[in-house]
Amino acid sequence: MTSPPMREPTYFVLAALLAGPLHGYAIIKRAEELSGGRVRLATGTLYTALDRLTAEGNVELVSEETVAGRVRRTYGLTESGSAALRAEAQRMAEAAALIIAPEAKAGPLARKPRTA
Amino acid sequence: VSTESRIPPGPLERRIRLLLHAYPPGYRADRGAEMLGTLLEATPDGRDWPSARDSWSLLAGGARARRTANRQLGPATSLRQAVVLGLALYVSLESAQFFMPDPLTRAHGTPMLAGLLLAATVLAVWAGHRTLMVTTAAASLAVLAYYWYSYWAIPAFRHRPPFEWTALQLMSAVPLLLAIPALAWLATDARPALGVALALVVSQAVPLATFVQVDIAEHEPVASVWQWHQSADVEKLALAVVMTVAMAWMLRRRTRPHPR
Repeated sequence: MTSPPMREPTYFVLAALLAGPLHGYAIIKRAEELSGGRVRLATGTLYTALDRLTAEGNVELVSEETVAGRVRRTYGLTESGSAALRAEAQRMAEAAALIIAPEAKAGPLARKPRTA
Repeated sequence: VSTESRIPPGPLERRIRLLLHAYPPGYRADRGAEMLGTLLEATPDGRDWPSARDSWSLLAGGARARRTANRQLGPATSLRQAVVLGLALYVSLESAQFFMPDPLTRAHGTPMLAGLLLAATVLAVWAGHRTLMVTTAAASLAVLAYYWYSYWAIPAFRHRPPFEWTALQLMSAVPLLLAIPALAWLATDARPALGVALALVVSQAVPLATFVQVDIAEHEPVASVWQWHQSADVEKLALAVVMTVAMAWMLRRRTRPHPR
């Protein structure tokens, strides 16, 4: 049974952690960079996603430190999170290939481009 | 990086802390300081308010966290709260009718039905059944709308009341207007005592306060209502008082340490 498609913010939270563990604000900045500025995570959205991803075992708490009297936690991708991210990327690549390179994978959506 | 922690909070930090109250207390204790730090970093220098997106996301995230926490409450707790809520609403509506002299609006069935539907809405929220929640909320609002509209729209009752009456009728709508956000709060609050306290204040104190006001203003326009009340509704006010005491007692019990 395949898992349902990931929502875009979830995808970019996981993608932000692919290069290594990050804290909350760094995840927001990295997700924005990776998406070319399209995904700007609001703080509440980020922590809702982190709660869910942690509960699912896709993200884990890596370290906790106190900076300027406040707790700063760093989160990292688990093996299961990394696998879920790659599976989603593969699914999107296959879906994109139907449109972007139809000749490579001929299917019902494949059409010849119109010529003038 | 500064390690000083005794710097008094600025307006931005105070406002973020206020917004973080959207989250249940347990969640705030665990994540509040971390989220505050992230929000302070995410807000550009010189701004005294978090962005509208961040503010909205905190309110939505807080509601979601409360719903998650409420799903972990036992069915007995949920049911007990729903019963208290339904009774409080019923008494509130009955007290509101105190200011309505027409036989039609004195009918008990309509407010009771609205109260039961709203209690069902709360149960549906607790159980996480969104479709049921929307259905029962829509039905209860429709009943309430009918309840109020029927008083003004039916030709037999479309007389223009004297000014004193209008003011009193408006006052009688106050508990209803306040009860609806109170219900929403209670429905999404993971700490039962706070939600029940709010329901207590809204549904009981306001009708009782308006009752006292009528007692003080015992003049001609009010006299007929006063007689009507004397004839039929002393027991409703008595019930309101009993409910207030009962809920205060429940709150006292909840604040005790959990026995082992």
